[in-house]
Amino acid sequence: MNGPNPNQQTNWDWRAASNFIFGGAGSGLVVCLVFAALGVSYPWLYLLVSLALVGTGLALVWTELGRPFRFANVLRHPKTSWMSREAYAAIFLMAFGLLSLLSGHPLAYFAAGISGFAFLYCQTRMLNACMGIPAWRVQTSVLLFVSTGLAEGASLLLIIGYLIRSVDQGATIGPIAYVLVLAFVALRWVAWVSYRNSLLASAPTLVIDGLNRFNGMVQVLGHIVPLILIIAAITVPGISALQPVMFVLAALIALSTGWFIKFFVVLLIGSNQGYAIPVTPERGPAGIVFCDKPGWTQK
Amino acid sequence: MTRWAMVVDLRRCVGCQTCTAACKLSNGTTVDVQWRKVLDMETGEFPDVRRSFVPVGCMHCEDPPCVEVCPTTATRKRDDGIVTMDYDVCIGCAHCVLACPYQARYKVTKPKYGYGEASQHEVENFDPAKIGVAQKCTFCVDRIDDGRKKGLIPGVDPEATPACVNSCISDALSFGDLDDPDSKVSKLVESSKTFRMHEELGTGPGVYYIWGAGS
Amino acid sequence: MMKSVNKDDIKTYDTYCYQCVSGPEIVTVTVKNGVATQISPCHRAGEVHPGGGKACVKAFGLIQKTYNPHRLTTPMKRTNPKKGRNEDPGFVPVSWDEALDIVAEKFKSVRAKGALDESGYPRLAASLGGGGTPLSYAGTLSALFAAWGGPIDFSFGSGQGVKCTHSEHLYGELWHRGFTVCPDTPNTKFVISFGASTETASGVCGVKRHADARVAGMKRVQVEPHLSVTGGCATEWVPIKPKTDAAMLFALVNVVVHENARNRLDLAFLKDRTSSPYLVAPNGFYIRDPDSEKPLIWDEATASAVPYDTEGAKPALEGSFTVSGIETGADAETWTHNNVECKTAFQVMLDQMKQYTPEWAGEICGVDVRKIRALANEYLDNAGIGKTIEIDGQILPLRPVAITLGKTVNNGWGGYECCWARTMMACLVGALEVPGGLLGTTVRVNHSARDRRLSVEPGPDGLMYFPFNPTDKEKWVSDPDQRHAGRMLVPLVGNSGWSPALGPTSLAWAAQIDGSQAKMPEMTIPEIWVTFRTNPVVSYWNTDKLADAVAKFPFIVDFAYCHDETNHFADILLPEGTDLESTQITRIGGTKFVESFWRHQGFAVRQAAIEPLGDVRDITWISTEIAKRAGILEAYNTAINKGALSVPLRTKVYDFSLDPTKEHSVDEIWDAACRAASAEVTKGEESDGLDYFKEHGYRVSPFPQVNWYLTPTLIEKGLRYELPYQERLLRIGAELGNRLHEKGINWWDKQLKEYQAIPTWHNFPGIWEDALEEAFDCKIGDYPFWLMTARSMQYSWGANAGIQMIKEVADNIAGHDGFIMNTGRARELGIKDGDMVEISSPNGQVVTGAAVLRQGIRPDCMLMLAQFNHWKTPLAKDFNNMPSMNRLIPMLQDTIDATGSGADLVRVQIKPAGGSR
Repeated sequence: MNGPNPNQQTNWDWRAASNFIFGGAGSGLVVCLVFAALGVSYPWLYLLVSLALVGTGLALVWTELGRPFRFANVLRHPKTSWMSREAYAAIFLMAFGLLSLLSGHPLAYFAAGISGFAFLYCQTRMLNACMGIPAWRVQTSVLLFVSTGLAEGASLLLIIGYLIRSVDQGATIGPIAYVLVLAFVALRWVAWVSYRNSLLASAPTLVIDGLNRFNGMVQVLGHIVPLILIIAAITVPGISALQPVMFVLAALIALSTGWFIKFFVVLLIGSNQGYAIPVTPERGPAGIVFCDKPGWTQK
Repeated sequence: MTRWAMVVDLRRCVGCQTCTAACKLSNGTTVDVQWRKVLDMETGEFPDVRRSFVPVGCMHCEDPPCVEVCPTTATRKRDDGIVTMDYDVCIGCAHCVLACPYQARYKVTKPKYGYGEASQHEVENFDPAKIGVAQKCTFCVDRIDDGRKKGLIPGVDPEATPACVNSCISDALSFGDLDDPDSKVSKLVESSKTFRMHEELGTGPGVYYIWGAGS
Repeated sequence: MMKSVNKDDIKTYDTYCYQCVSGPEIVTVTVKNGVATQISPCHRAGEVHPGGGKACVKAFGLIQKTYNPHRLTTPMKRTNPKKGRNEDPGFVPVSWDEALDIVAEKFKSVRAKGALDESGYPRLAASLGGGGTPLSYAGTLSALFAAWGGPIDFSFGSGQGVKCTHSEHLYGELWHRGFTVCPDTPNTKFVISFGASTETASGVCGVKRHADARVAGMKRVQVEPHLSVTGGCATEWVPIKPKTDAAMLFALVNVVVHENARNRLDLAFLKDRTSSPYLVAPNGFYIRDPDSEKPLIWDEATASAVPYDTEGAKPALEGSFTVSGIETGADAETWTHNNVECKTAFQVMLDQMKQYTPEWAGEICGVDVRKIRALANEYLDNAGIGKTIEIDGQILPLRPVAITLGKTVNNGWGGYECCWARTMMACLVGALEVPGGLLGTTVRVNHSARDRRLSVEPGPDGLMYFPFNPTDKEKWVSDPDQRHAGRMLVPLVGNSGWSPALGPTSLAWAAQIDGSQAKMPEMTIPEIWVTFRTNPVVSYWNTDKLADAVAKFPFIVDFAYCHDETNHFADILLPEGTDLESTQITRIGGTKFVESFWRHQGFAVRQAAIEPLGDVRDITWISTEIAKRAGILEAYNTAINKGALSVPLRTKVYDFSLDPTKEHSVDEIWDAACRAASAEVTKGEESDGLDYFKEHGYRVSPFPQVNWYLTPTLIEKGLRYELPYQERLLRIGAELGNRLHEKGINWWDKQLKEYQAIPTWHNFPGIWEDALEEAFDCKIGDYPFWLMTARSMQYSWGANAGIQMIKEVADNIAGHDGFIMNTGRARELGIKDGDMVEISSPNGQVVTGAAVLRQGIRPDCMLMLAQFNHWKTPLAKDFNNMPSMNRLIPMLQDTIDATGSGADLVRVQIKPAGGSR
């Protein structure tokens, strides 16, 4: 059995992480689609990808339920449960998504976008509500997961746009797609730094070790490189031919970084709280000793 | 009002795991599921070392994070403070397991027996409702409720008292109504130095740990 | 109590759990649809049980123990005549008839040759598990043994003598009827515990008493090399080097007698209740009155030497006086002295202890000198000389201080010194056998175990009688009837039913491995070996070689639970009912080890709560069948009638005896025993039988608390405690040496040196180091760690290694899934928590286990809890992380002390084995 020291949670495995990975990216995409004011060709295609991603995430997490055929019970507690709320948001997202696909009406897309954001926010708060997991319960995780969902959505917007254009050279790509990538990757960078700092002060040692181990990669490769690529593609004269490649490369990096961050947070630093006593008991007339939390690093 | 609570006198606990075993047997928990267990905690560096034995389990919090996150309302808090589980409603999402900062909750997807196949007593004690859902200490709520119906007093009459408390050989575990100033738990909390685990998280645990004499 | 709860689906039964020496505890078994499903405390028994009717963790394992699918549920016969660890025994199921006939025929044919073989050793040997607990499960097996009609060899121990508190057993019982010794915890205030495993081995009663005392403010200082569970529950931990405890204890005596004013001692107790004033003549024996031969004391009133029991004399406690008289040494050698200087025994002790300063001890023990001094003074501060307490209407002294000793402290070399020093510390402040002080619990060499006060009989020189084995020429037991030669070599073990288990059991095993010692009868192998609830192939030392020795035993009958390492070599396996499947009664209450102090005494029943699994049988039925088939039924029944079941069936007051000529059923036998028990408890007023006990669980009568204390009895009988001076031991040791040398035996000479009147310090750790270097031609420096062990509450005595639930819950306590070593030391060696490590000792044996890194252990020590390294027992054989020290400890005679005891101690080296847990 586990002792007092914190250890990695095992109740949410790769399937739950997939919900954050696919669901976050999919919902981010639908939000970015609206952000782009639908200034893209074939918006239904983007929406389809978005719904497919969200659906895949939900399907995977459904397989992790202990009683999967009672899944409808998930709707019973929207009053306080972010998981219930996420489920409602998913229903709205799917409903408005379907409506958008059928009607093509911008308002429907807008409603789907709102639902998508709600879904993204709910799943972020769902993670954040896990009080037993120090790396999740910090408030900074909310901005990190929201920002990465949006960054992934923007990245997908860009990538899908170029994919469509490779087939239909007349297709328009959302004019602000790369701006969104730029903005959301920058936001995520801020969120990451803030997230990491909030944990470095006090967290289970294995969380801090993990953060330190991957920080360089996440910051440099995951943020600085794509930002440089996009800025360079925009500002450096004479490389317009390379611009699509640079945009897509930046988007791919931003997307995979986002997915890694979620994998990392859920499955690598998802350490539980551990146990702690603030003071040792008096055994007879003894001086007591004040204790640190075992397995934690505190500044 | 009634607020059922447990008081753990850490000065008394010797880490014998009798409560752990009694709980396992009484609640028919499967292998490696311990609703109640006693931690062996070491503090300090050689040669200035202390060793403490700390019983843990569901803290039956005043503001239980598990109840808040539960999407199905399978986990509820009763007016008397007991955090309950409705196995028939739970979908086994494990959100509550992760919300609990006391690692008190377990999700068992398939039964595991001591020796592979179920032994006779494991067959008798097996409850299929507990498979695939969250499970945890209930303060032996059935004993409490049945006992009260018979006019017994939980924490006083063994038949109405949690199995771990009944079994404790060092009298480290006490149970009772914290809202009753005359109950043993009220008097212990009143007359002792206590803490509650991870109090900084604001969950308001219903388990008090005595670490010293005097208020 | 048996009662119907719900349409006969659920029934509850009271029974007892006696899985450890601190039992029994009464428990309630819940049986649902014929299946035992729950164990719970018997709260009703809280009215009589000092632990509130609770039972420890082991009791809760009984359900799984019963339904363990690895149990053997049918008799089995070996088909492969070759025996060896790597030989498949080829066990095949047989009928009870066939199995019993094989055993009975063997009994008959062997018995027909005579009980003793050509070397004078018993042809029948039997081994039972530790602490005597198997007897409470053995049904009528003891009657079967009695019916054998000749000596049975009980010297093949499963740990007896080397894993108990052996020195305490013998010296404790000699000095104050303390086969085991503990504080009067409910009344004590200050305890120094040298490694006592109170919180893991003193059972429910001990744990409860100490928890209550802690909360009431008792301070307990734990002195031991590793911070055990007990140390964790103590106020303070003092890490001491292994086997140096005697040095620290001597230093405590030194501080008390040489750094403190005399009036801080209980002078009246020392003068009147101990032999301190006796005058010691030049050859080391008491100077005696030539007429009465009584030891002399110096009477300060008349300034003359007078016999110790002279009315009105005012004994001098210390000093040297010019005295005339006679002195009697070994073998009645007598000297006549005229005007020689004779010191009081107390003065001899003072002089001897003068050298053992805290500064001297600190160096040896690795303990801060200030700490040693402080503890001695704190002991004195708390002694409260002059204070009294009322117990059961009697005013008794209150001396709330005690020093307790643990297993390895108390075993082998150094044990005598430690026992002496801590008992002396009690005497110095009058804390021996009074409220708050140091108490014995029970007797096993003397009689009666029911009430140790009854064993207080006048012996020589105003001291208590003790049944030493004779050492004079005429009566010395020169031809041992046990293969360990206990009565021959160890006068202290006496000749009680327990004495065979108290002899030097390692000599018996060592002789099987290495052959007989010089001038001893040729070592033979017992023709029949009966084993019951024991597994020496795992639980003794040098286990690999021991297994090879067992493989040579020609006929082994095991009352089997499951396949294990010992019955791997058996010829017949007889599956007996577990704790919940069979019936008997046992004695409860009074005072008993380890801290069981009751205010009642009587009997409790173990009742068959469920139908036996498969074809397992009640051991009483098995014993009766063997007796009948072997043609010794009448002797068997006669033994039962005489009291083989712990209560005689016929006394002057009652008669429930069985017809010796007839076969009786299990229930008939135990019904008679229950009737006798009822009659004993009620002084003949009641005669309820088995049904009463099944319904009520137990029957007791009051046992007043004042009976816990021995000193009032000594006062009543005008006797003294034999401290500080060991004149009798000095004489006995010299006589024993004479006898052995007359026989040409010199191999016990080192042990003979332990017979000292006042103990002295020897380099006790060095004894082990030297013995290992000599035996294995190694440099001890290459083995830098002391390897030790400690009791586990979950496992010790319980035969629980194969019980999954016990393993699961025990793993919550550090050290149950590996071996413990110091975190800092491990870091220096590059070992991480969980790393697999090879541990080897000079005997060439190697074990592998997972490192558990803890701060609470000296850097030069390692600890392996309990006893594992199973290779046959199902489940336990897969505990790959948990090594046992038993394989690593050689049986070296040099490490055996004069009482025949050794210690769980060896030096080891380690190296990474690769991989981690």
